[in-house]
Amino acid sequence: MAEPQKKVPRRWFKWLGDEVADWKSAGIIDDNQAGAILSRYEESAHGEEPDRGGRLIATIAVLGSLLLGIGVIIFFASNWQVLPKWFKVALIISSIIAAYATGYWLAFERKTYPRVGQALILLGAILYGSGIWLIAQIFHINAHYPNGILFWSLGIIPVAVAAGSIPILVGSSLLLTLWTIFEQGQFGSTNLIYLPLSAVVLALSYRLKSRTAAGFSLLGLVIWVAIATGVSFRGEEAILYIFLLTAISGLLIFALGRLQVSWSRLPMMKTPYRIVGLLVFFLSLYLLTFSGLMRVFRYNSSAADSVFFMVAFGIITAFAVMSGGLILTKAKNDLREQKGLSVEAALVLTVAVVLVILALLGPAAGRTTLLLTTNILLFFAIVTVIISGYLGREAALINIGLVFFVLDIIARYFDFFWDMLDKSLFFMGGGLLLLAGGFLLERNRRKIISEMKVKIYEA
Amino acid sequence: MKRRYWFTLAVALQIAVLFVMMGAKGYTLAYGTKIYLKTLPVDPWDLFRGDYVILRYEISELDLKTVTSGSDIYNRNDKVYVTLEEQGKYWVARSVSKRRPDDGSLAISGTVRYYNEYSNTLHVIYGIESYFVPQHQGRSIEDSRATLDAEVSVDRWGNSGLSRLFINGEEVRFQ
Repeated sequence: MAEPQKKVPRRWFKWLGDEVADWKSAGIIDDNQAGAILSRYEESAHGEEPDRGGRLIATIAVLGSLLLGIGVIIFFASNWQVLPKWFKVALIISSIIAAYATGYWLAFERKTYPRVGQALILLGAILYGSGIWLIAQIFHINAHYPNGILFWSLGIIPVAVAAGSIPILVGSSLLLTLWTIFEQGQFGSTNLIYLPLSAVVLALSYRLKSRTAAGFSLLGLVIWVAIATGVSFRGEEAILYIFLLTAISGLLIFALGRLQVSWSRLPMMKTPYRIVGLLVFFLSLYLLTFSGLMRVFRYNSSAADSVFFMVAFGIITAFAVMSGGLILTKAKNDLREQKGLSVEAALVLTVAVVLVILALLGPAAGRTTLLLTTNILLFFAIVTVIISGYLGREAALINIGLVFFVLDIIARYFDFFWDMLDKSLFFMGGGLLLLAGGFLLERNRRKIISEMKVKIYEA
Repeated sequence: MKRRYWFTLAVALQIAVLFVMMGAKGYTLAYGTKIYLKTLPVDPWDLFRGDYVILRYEISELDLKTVTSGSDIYNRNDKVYVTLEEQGKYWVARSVSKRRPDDGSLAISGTVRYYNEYSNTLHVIYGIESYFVPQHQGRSIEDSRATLDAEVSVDRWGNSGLSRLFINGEEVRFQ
C-alpha cells in the first residue's frame, strides 16, 4: 500500500518516533505496524517549524521600511522649494534603485539577511509610489488621479513575483481595491477592468501561497460589485440590492472555499475563502435585519431599474447554486464528510433561493415581510454554519457563527425593547442577558471546540 | 541568475513608468503651443486643500449658447476636444466636439464632468486644475486671485500641461 507521505516538522517527527517506540515496548503495536506508521510520515526538508524570532525580525524590518518610506515622502513634500526639479527626480529614482539593489543583494545574493532584504525591497515599492506622486507634483499633473494608484499597484506586481514578496503582493491587492473605490465612487464608472486585474492578483496569491493577498483580493471583488450596484441604481433603494448582492457573493465565496479542498493542490488556500466569504455573507444579511434600514426604500422601485444588478446577481447566484450542487454531489461520494457537506449544501441552496425571491420582490414585498424573512434567514444561516463547522471540524466557522449570533441578539434586544422598557430596566436587562449569554457561550464554545479536537485526532 | 534577470526587468519597468510620465508631460510642455488662459475665481474655502492651488478656467464652463457643440450628446466621463482661438492675450473656446478637429486648429482635450441642462453649460476638466506650491505658501496666490493667469502648453494631440502662473503679469516663483 503506497500511501502518500505526509511532511511534518522535525519536532513532530521526533515526537512521533518516540511515541511509536513507546507503544511498541508497551505491546500495543508490533514491529510491522510501527514501521508502517513511521513510513507514512516524512520530515519536512528545511525545518518549517514556526519561526517566531524570524517573524519578529520581519515585522520590525517591514515597519522600518514603512517609516523610512513615509519619511522620504514627507521630506520631499516639505523641502519643495529648496531642491531643483531635476535633482528631486534624480534623487527619488536613485533611492528606488538603491533600495531594490541593496534589498536584492541581502536577500538573494548574500542570503545572510533575507528578512531585512525583503523589507528593503518593500521600501523600494513604497518609494516607487512616492515617485509617481512626486512627478505628478513637479509637473502639476492632476489628470484623473486614480490612475496614479493604478500605476502604483500594477507596477509593483512584477517585483512581488520576481522577489517572491508577499507584503508587496498584499499591498498591490489593497491598492487595486483603493483604485476601484476612487474610480467607481468619484467618477461613477463601472470599472469592469478591475475584474481581470484582480483575477491576476488572486492567481498570483496562489503562486506565492499567500492567504492574506487572496483574502484581500476576494474582499476587493465584493467591494467592486457593491459600489457598481450602488452607482447603477442612483438611489437609496440600492441599499437593499447592494446587500442582497454582497450576501450571495459572500455565500458563493464561502462555498468555493469548501470546493477548494478537492480542486486545489493548495488546500490551505481554502481559509481566506471560508473567512472572507462568511464575514461578508453574515454582515450583509445582518444589516438587512435592521428595521431602520428598511425605512429608506422607495416602494415603487424594483431590481429591473438596474441592468447591472440583474446581470451580476444572476451570474453570481447561478455560480452559487452550481457550487451548492457540487457540494451535494461531493456529499454523496464522500461518506466520511457526508453530514457536514449535506448541511452546507442545504445552507447554500436554501439561502440562494430565498435571496432570489427577495431580489425579485424588492421593497414591494413590504417592510414586515422583508424584515421577517431576513431575520429568519440570518438565524437559520447562523445555526447551519455552526453545525457545519462542528461536523467539518472548522473552528473558524463556529467562532464567526457565534459572534454573529451575539450581534443578532443585541440588535433584536434594542429593536424590541428600547421603546417598551424603562431605560434603567433596559440596560440592566441587557447587561444580565449579555453576562448570561457570555457564560453559556464560553462554556459551550470550549466544549464544542475541544470535542472537535478529539474528533480530529480520531480522524 | 534567472531571478536576478526578472527582478532587474521588474525594477526597470517601474523606472520606465516614471520616465514615461515625465516624458509625456515634458513633451507637451516643450513642444506644445503656449497659450494664456484666464482663470475664474474659486470659492475661497475650496482654494487650498493641502498645498496646491485649485484653478478654474473660463474654458472649464462652456456656455453652449456661444460655443458650437454640434449634435453630440455629452455624458459624464466622455472625452471631448475643445477648439481654442486667440482673442487678444487670452485663448477662448470656439467649439466643442467628441472628435479631434482635423483642420489644424488648436484643440485641448478634456473630460466631461457634467452637463447643466438648466443653464446649457458643459463642465469640463483638462487635468491642469492643480498648481502645487510649497507648504503654506499658497496664501499670496489666494490674495491676488483677481488677476491670475495661467500659461498652458497644448500639443497637437490635445494633451495639455500647466507650465507657469502669473499674478499681475509677474511669474509666480518659489525659491
